[in-house]
Amino acid sequence: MHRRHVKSVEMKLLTCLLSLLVLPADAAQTIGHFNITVNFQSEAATAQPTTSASTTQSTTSTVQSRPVQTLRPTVSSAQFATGSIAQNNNRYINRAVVSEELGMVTYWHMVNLHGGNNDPDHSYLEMLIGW
Amino acid sequence: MKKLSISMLTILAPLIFNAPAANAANVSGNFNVTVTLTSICTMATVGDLAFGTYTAFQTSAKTATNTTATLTCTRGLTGVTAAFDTAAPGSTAAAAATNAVGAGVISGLQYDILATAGSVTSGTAATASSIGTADSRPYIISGSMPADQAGATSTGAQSQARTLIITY
Repeated sequence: MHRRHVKSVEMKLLTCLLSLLVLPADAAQTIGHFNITVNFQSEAATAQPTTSASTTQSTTSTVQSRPVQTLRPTVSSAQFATGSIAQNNNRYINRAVVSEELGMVTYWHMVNLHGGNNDPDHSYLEMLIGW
Repeated sequence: MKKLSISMLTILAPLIFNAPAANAANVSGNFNVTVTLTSICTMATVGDLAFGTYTAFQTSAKTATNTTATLTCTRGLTGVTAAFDTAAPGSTAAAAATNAVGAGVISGLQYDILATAGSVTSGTAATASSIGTADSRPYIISGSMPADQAGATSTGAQSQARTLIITY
């Protein structure tokens, strides 16, 4: 029992000595604080409008545009504005759908573009995206 | 006879008046000048590591404008190492080494930082008539943000405190 106790004390002393060897007694530190700054801009200044397209159909209920890669993040809201032709004829868009895939707007299309037989063939729509 | 007396005086006078006292002696004592020097480095105020404006999903990495931490140290220090702190949420730091390496997140943007030890400008030794000058040790702190990051919405310029730790 006594021998075991002596061994335990020896081990403790050895541990202490080893710790002294690892950490120099005269090690000192000097610290300096500095700030990391950034001005995060969540939307590019040129983000609006991100894309536009023209169509030659004027009286059908659905106008399908070609897929448009906007290279923008997932939209949280979208606004649609009619182009000059629709404004001239007091036309409006009932509904527009934005499809999202993998966080990017990969295509868009417009539906129910009202118009009469006298509508010009070249309606123009512009999609504005904000996030 | 008179002639002899004058001659004798001429010879003896210097011996009588200039002779050292019979008990004059020198005594010397040695003593040591002792001091225990505690080596120290001080660091001047470190400027901001400014990334400027980062636009979400920008196509190129953003490099910060370098800032410098200048240390004034006891002459001849060796084994000086540097490391960054990890106090800021999400920040990391490599083990202390010649150059400090770290990373972090600000406004949802990942960044890497590096403190590179510059050339030491040696001070001058003290002399009996001058106190000498210290060594100057600069650390150039640089940073970069990878491109194509979404970030997290934040308003205005954001600031995050980091610390450079110099061990010697």
